[in-house]
Amino acid sequence: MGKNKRKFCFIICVNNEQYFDECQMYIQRLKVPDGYTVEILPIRGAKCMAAGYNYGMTLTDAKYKIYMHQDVFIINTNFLNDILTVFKQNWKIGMIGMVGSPSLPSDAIMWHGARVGNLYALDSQNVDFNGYEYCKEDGMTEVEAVDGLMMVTKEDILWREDLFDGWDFYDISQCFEFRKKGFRIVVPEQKKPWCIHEDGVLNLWYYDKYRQIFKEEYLGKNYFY
Amino acid sequence: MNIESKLDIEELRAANPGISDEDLLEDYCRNLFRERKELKPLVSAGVCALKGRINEKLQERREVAYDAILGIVNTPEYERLVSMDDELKVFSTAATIYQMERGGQYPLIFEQIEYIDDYYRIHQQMLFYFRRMQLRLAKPLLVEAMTYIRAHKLTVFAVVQILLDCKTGEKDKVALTLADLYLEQKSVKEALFVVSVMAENCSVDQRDKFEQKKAEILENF
Repeated sequence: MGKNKRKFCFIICVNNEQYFDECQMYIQRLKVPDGYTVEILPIRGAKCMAAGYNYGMTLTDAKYKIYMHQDVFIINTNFLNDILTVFKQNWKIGMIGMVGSPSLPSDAIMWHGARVGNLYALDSQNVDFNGYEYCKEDGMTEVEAVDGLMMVTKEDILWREDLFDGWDFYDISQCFEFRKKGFRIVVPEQKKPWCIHEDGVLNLWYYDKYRQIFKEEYLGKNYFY
Repeated sequence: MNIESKLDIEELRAANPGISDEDLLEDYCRNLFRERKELKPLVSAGVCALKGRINEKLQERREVAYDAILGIVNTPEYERLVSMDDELKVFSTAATIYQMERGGQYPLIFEQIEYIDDYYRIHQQMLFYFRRMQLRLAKPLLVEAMTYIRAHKLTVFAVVQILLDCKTGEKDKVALTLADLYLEQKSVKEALFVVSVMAENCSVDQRDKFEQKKAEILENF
């Protein structure tokens, strides 16, 4: 499918319509850059996140794809312009995240190491986005991996549903696939949090299974130069 | 913005001298996930049993059964499992609401739900509306909250308790918007209740604005 360079597509695996409705409401509030269009693609009944995202990728011709969780609400109304500003800074930037690890800890668990980025928190006293606009002077941090709550891409690389057939580590794997192909991944400095992540209790029942698969597949291999 | 690690590697190093960081982390993870795996059947069975008992009582549709729910919510078993399940976590708020509503001439929160997950949906939807208020979204998106409150017969006790317990910032701002929305519906008592409760629960430096709002309501309505 030829790519439409002036189109954004939000690809969202959905299993809770209440959350998706709210998520969609926030997307519909976003300012759309002149000449661009926006598509929202809910994927229902996905057998795993990677499969859902691969399926979504085949359904749209948008150059800019925003893979995100249904429980993420974008509160920065200038979000679409802001991600264009980030991508325009360097053609090698293939992916943008909201939270990421500059250096993934050796156990591959992001929250065991320092992370960069920003998310809405209860003490967010300043969530008024009137007049807010990201500019390149705000800066960004290059990271090894970003959290799957939101992954914005401008290149299409297949998600590894062959290995990650669950709901964990599909995100970090995809970051490593991008980096294997020579793309850079960045987290912009967000002076105000761009998103709310309304996640609940993490069960992590199968987390270690996929962590082992991830380590086996990527760590200690000389993929990156 | 930097987000700190949730693991104190220094503490691990101190407890395990002479072991490399890589091995330390790996051992830590293996133990953590092994424990979780062992706990999974117990947690799932416990959560399921608790919810089953609550659902059964809800479906009896009588106050004596609703009172029994309060007993369940106060068991050590509930306390142990509450952090492991989203629905249990927020259901404690429903129990508090019921305690305020019973004995009055109000529709009871437990009468509006058949299952524990019905309450979870109500709680989350109200949280979404409160966030909209905090973010000052367009008026029609805020007014939807009042339609929802009416449709689900939520008392002002329920609405305020959810606001007090839920994860939203700037509750003072939210409460004042909520009071205005009640006033627009000519629900003066409800608006007064919102500001009075928030005045009692806010920090001292915020109290003035609620007192001012209270005076404004009393004067104009």
